[in-house]
Amino acid sequence: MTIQFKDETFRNDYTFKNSEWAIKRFPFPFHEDSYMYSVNMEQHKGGPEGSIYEKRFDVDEHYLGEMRDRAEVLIEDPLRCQSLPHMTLAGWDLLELIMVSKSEDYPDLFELHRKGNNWRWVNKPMQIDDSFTFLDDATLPYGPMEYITRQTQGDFVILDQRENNLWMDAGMVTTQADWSLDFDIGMNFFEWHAPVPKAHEMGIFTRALKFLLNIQQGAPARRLNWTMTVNPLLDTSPENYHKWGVQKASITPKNIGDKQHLRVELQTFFRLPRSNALVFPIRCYLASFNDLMTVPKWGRRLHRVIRDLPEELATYKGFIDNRPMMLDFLKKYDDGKPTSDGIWPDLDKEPSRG
Amino acid sequence: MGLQVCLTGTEGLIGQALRDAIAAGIPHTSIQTEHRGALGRRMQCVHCKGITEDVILDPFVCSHCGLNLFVRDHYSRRLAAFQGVCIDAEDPGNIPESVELYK
Amino acid sequence: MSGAEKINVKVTNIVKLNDLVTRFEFKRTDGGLFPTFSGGAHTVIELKDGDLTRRNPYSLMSDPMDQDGYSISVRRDDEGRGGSLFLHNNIKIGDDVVLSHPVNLFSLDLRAKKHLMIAGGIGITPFLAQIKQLDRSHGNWELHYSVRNQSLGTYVDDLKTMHPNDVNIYYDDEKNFIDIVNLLDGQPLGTHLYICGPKGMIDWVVGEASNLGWPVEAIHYEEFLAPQPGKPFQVKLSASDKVVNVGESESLLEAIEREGVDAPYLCRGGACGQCETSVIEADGEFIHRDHWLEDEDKISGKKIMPCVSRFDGKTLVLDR
Repeated sequence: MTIQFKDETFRNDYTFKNSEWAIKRFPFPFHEDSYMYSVNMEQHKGGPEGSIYEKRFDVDEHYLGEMRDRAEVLIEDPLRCQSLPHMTLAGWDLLELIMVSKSEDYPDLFELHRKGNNWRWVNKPMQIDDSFTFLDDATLPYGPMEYITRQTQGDFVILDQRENNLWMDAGMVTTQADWSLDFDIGMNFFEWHAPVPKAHEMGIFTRALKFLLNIQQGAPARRLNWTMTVNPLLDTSPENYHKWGVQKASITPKNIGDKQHLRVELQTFFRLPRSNALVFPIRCYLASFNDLMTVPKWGRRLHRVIRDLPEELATYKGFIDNRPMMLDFLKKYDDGKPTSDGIWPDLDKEPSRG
Repeated sequence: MGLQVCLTGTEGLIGQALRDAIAAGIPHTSIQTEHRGALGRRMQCVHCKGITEDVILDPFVCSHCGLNLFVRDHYSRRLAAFQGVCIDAEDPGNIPESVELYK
Repeated sequence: MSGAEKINVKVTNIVKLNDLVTRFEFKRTDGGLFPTFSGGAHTVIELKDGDLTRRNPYSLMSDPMDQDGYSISVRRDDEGRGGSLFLHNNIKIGDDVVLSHPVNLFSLDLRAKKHLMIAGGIGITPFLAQIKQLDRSHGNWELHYSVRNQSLGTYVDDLKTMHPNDVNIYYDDEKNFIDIVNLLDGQPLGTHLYICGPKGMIDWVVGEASNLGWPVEAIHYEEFLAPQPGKPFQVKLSASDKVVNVGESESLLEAIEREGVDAPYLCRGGACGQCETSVIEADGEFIHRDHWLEDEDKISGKKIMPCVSRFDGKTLVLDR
């Protein structure tokens, strides 16, 4: 199917809206009626046709809107994209990975022509047609990582692998859930995760690190993470927190269905060949409560998950104050019926109405 | 290589010297540090990126942009500073009384 | 999932370099491009020897940017378990074999201001790929390569011709040895040290470097522990409900694989931790030969690395 790219905003007037297609494929992150941290990794090797898991780098109707938002964030704050000097080779690795994947997975949108190191990249939706020399920084308008991530949805963090640890040494981070690349760049796996509650005691990070250190070429992995955002605001950065923080208090029982969004991150992990670095794309999907309630199973489940979530987690994920109002809204959609295992809508399993 | 470095001083001074030593190629495991002197923290305001030295109160006022910031334990070796984040972003004007750090 | 993804290849060239070392070159059977890799990476070659499947890791010595072919150089080990002998004696041009995707457990630290390489014998192979990679990016490197004698100096002529100023050769039979203390002393800040060769050489160089105050993070080494033969023993695989007899010259991992049980592995040389297996019950002595487990894990008897370690006793039950 041809994707209809929307012209929408993720700030100020917030014209972002999900089509029915986008809602049906939304990565609802809860496979059961409660939630606790887990390493929850699986192989990133395709998925059901049309799902967000099918392609290596998913492109959807929000592509152009997101890229425009990214460009605006970078004008205001160029420090959202940084690469320590030794990471340029990894940047080229990432450029190659994305260009090859997208030209193969979406041939009517992207083209890659290569003759030795003379490459030509065509990005039809963004009307880009650039020729350059692979591995030669001077032939691109930006560094390779910045160049390609200005054309790819989601944040990207590139991790250098040394001393049996991972080091956050480069990244393009404009849609993050409240952490600062400028502050965290140069930190290792344990250091940048220091603010996350409970997980350290559970040994989650030691196990996760061991898994990530052993991700090999040709065998990427993926997992989901989630949080809550008021308004479809992509740039929930700490840098701008003093501007957007106050929006949390703008939720009312009347507007919560429209304004409260579940924000899900599809996190993938690819080993990069020439640099041996690990790239960590973090792709953000937003759905309003109203969007989610159109799927009865999700309505029931979301209520139960939010109701039973430990206070520490609700606080860390930033919605502890709005939780009571969320539950007031959500309980209307929880008729107490059992929910099926797994994340899919399972609409055909719904009892018929009437 | 093989050079061992020892740094003593305030936390802020140590942090900056450490950062520069590492940038010169001295591995971090070759550097010993010992804190001496004032207990104040070197803080970076995550909003304006300005550094405020010798912070002993939480919350405190950013010496560059004037926002009220709370002191986070999150530390960056590269910046040699802790992170300060706006305390009243969600409820502007609601600033709790400052307490002294390390008391 | 066991091991890295596999690639089907054909042997396209076999070059005998000297009495002990032969180079093998490969192309993909599907005619496609090989994945690029980072210098220091190795591949695990899978060879069918009758009923036995041999899996041996070898450093990729070819240019990482060369996607048309991969090459490895193999030293014949007459006393070993037969993998290198099998390659030397049985593999012919045109044969079909399987290679794993490259795996790098010996990568360059790209922040280094200088890469100081110490090679012993066949340990030269990963450096050949790394040198090609560094030359492309104008990296600063220096090689010190110790060989037994001129006739067994694998690739010495190539290296000296291409890099007369950066390559230093030492001949054992001329009593020419690397003066490691003087070499390490006074290296500029930001130098990283890389060692690949026999265990004795690695231990010696690492020891001297530590004595001179070099920190662990600046010292990198790779040693492919070949699984040593040992007394046969029996093991019970609890999850698969099988009893396996581990023969004298097969490793515990190989015996498990022989029984059709899919056990995870990566380097097959006791270094990467991927094959770590939980011990459910044990009555006997563990013979730990790996570099992965902490001392307390080895003493606890609750974990074993089947790729290189063995057991001697009455009962061993593993969670596989």
